[in-house]
Amino acid sequence: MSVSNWQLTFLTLSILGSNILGVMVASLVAILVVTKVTGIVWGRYKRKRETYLKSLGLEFLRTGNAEAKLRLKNLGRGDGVILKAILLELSEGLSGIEQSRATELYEFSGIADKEIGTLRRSRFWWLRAASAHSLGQMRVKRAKSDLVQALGDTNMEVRLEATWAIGHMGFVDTLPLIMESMSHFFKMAALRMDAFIFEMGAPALPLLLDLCKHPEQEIQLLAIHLVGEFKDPGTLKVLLSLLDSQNLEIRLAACKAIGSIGDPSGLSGIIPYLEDSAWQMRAQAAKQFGRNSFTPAIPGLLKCLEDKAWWVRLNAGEALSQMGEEGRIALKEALKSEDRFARDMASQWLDELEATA
Amino acid sequence: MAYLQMSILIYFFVVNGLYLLLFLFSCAIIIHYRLILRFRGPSEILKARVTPPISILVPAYNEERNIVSSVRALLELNYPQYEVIVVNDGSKDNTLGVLEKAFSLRRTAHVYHREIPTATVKVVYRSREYPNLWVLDKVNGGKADALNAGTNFSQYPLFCAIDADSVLERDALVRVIRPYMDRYGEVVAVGGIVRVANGCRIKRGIVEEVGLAKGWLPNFQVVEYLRAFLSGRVAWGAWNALLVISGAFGVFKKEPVMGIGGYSTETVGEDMELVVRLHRRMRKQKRGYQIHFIPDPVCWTEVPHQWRMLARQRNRWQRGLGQALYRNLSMFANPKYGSIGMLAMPYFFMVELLSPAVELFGYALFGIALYLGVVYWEAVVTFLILAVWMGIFLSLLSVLLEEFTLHRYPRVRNLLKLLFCAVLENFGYRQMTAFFRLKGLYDFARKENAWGFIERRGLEATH
Repeated sequence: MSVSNWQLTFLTLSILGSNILGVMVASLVAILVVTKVTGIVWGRYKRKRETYLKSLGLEFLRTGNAEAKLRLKNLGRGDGVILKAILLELSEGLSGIEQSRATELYEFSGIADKEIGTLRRSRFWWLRAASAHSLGQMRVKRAKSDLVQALGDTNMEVRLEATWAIGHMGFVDTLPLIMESMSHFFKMAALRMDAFIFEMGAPALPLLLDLCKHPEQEIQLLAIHLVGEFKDPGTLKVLLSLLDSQNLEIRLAACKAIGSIGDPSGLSGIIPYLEDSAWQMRAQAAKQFGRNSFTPAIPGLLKCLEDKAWWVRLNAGEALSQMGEEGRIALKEALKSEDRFARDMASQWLDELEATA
Repeated sequence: MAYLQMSILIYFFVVNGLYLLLFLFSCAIIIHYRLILRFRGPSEILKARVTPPISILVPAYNEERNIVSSVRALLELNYPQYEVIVVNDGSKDNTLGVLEKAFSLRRTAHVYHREIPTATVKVVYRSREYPNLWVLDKVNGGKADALNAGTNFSQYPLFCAIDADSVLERDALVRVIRPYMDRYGEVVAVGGIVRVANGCRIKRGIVEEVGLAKGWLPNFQVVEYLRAFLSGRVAWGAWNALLVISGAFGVFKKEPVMGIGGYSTETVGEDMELVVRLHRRMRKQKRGYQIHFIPDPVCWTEVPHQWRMLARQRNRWQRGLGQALYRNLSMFANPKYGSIGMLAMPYFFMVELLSPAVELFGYALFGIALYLGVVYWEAVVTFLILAVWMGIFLSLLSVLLEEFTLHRYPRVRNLLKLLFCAVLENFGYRQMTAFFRLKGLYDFARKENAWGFIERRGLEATH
């Protein structure tokens, strides 16, 4: 092929390429215009219908008026969407009979069936996730099996929403399934579970304690964190036993959980860990003593001011500064230490105490 | 001559193809991201008790104009637990003085722990009004050195490096923390989109109204930033092959950064160099890790409003790019480093580093050939389509992508102006920046290492 032919080929390809881009730009502009116009039209329709549907919905929620309920059956697609949004919004502040009526209306208007269908069959994850959330928020208990199924969804958002929904409805028995489904998303899972695990209350605790010994580290860590948040001294035995785990992460989590509980018997149990071989453990223990102003740890903390690890010295100094007068006296004593690092740290925290006095 | 012309055309053809590929991929990611946000809004993360605390590091050198409003904005961020550490890097102006006055700073006896070697930290100050505000006054050592000092001093497991002349959105940290919430163990760094603040109404360090500047130069940069961030970085981030997290905004896990000795003080592109080195270390150690990029507009920065300043900035960026690639040359086309070695490094070398040279060479070559009459018209038309026409389309697509997904310019007038800029920037502006970058490439070859002073008007005066 001659050079000229090459160039013709390039020209053709370039024109083709630029045409594709041109079509893309033109299509996007067209979509933009259509989206904006549709948005304006839908907005106007929504505003008009919202007032009417909301008044009917509120009437039923407050009085249980059967006629208002009947008028909300077999709504068109647009009105169904508006009613669903209204019910979701209203249900956030509801309890007791009004909450039950909201669920009843959600079921009666056929929205619940549609949502369960979407959760089971939709190919789009965001629709499945929205359905899971909606079913949970409206407390549709018959959707339990579908939500449990959704814990194994390929999409993480769907799993997160299903977790939230199940928790919101208080199905304690599903806890191990939830933990297994969420184990790889530690913080996100903890965030979601923090919110509802306490609604489940005491029945959730034995399951959580079992999960503290789960073979998967992620699940163990999550369970330890949640047990700590319960602040139940009855769990200390299990947590203290985890301080000698082979795994440093687990030991640190257990130490932190004991600190969260803040019970003196638990805190006494972590005093020996101020001399642990891992500096992270020494630093963590010091931190928990400060957090709880646990004065029996003062002698150990004074020793930690001379620790070779800077973080241990820092946390020990901070812990002492959080222990009131006894801590202040200890810090002043540390100013006489032969160790320069201990003196520096003591002077730093005494300075902080003076500034904040 | 004909073969030379053909080589140039092939280069442009491949580069445009790559741009298009990156754009299409980014579109899918941004849409996915927007959908996720429907389920996980900032309010949920704000309420969480497991959100990791963050240290915000603000290196400041001669920043008396911006520093107070920047710090004020930082102190009003929506985030459960964070500290702000301003590092006054031996400023010659009154940066420290204005900080002392505005935030009632007091000298502390705080012990500075020099885990990464830095220039001497003379005094550690703490605010009486805001206990989470610290100011380190140190001997000048450059931006990287200041960031290292801040990292040494920080007490939290994550740190966020920002420029003193940037403004963060109030929810910036809540949004950027999301990847850490998903997979804390694996994520080592997250970058976010930096936007142009010129033309926006900023009061007390908060962007009150998003707008465009009156002059053309900052607006061309708006389009350029959209193209770079929305199509380039988003896609590289998704492939875990992101090589740059802008120095204006990035959140890093402290432990791996300390592990590689912090920022390098020997380059002018310390932000990119750090990210490349993080990749290198992680891949060498065969550790599962992720470096993310979130397509949320989280940080606003003032861009140069004069050609002279723009020239200095682009020169420095190009030198920084050259240094980062050169210092990690062993990763280039090395299958041991996976997508970084085989995709990102070659892309940055062939496209980002060499493109100004090839582009300007192309203009010169086709100009001379046309003058001498030794060029086929097909070649000239092809070159113009590839170099200019496609550039226009890609810029237009980026602006439209912004409008569809992020929609930060609510006024129709602004959208139209941006679309116009997307066309116009291809006639003069792009060629000029290519020239500045070429000069940067030349200076890199000469081992020139000056930072290059850039005059700022001040964030609240850019409207």
